Amino acid sequence: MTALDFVDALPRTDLVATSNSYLSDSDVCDCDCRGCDKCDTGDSDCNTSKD
Amino acid sequence: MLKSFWIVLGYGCQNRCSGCYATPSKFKNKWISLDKAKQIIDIMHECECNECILIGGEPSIYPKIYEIVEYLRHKHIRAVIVSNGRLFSNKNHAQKIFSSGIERVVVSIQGKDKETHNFITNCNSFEETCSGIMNCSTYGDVSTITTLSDLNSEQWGEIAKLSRKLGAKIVSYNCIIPAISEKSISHISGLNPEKAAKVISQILANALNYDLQFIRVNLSIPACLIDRHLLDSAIKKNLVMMGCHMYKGSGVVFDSQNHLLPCTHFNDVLLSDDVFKNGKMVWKNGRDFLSYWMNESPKIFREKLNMYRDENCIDCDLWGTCIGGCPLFWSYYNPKDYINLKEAK
Repeated sequence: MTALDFVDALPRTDLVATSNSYLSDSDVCDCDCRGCDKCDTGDSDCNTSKD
Repeated sequence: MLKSFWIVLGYGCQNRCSGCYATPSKFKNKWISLDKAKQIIDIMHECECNECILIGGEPSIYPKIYEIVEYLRHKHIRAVIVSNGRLFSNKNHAQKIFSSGIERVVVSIQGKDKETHNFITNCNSFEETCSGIMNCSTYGDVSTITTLSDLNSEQWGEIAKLSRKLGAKIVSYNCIIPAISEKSISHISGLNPEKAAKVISQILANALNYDLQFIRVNLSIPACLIDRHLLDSAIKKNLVMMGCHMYKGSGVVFDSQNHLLPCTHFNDVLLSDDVFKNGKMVWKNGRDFLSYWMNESPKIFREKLNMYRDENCIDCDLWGTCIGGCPLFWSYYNPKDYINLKEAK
């Protein structure tokens, strides 16, 4: 199965989220690094800096 | 755009955790070659990715693990390994993984005691895992991750105490996400989003009340299932991780079987099964890969994914980070039964 087939089968509305919403700045860690403690501390080495 | 990449070094593992996303792989002991792993790293380096998460299966038993970590260091890419910790019960391995350049070891611990942990991992693993956490804490940063399920969610507090006692800097929790494969979708021992919300709310409330700054919760369920005041307070204290790299295209997964995956939880559900041809990566360089990533099937995948799961999401100010919860939940549950469900609060 392709990922496209899979996502096609998910329940959803017919409404496409606007680009502004899904690209909006976040106040939370979205880096998926599973335990990063550097978020929001201003550490320039942390890749969790906001988009 | 791309920030992180995962390499599933292989699906082989000493444990057989219930609910593991690798279950459909039957934990095949087929490892990626060092040469292919280096080609992936080269291309991701050219794409300016700055973090690599080494995962499996069990990545620590990959025969060339130290060489890969050293290669990542050579490329100035942060390396994180997500492990069951068992190999690191040997101090030499714990020391070597950090001296090779790993930035953080994340160890999966599934119970407060050997009865629960061994039951969930389906083997006698508890003592080695605890010893592994302790040894890693001697040489570098170690965090723990507990996958909350019907089997251990009541133990979250005791697991946190144990993890801290063993030396974990951060104690994190996520929920079992449905395991996806071409043939089946399963959520064995998984908490449905409403049950997960109740446990997560307890964790966050306690973390706030007792100022447990080392707690992190990966909020893979819809944010509207958590009391908003509690959620906002927890976000301010940096206790919550939200969002999904799939929506932004900020992360990509390569596995050991020539596959490109949107997320490690996809098993044989693929973006591409054609990563290598005759031993060489099909993309000549980072620019070539980015062109594919931005314009071809990954782009279509993101467009299809980026649709509101429920009408209640449309005006929600948290959509951008919540995205209606992990989409994989909705392969097993109906979003209409959970999104904006007041009773869970």
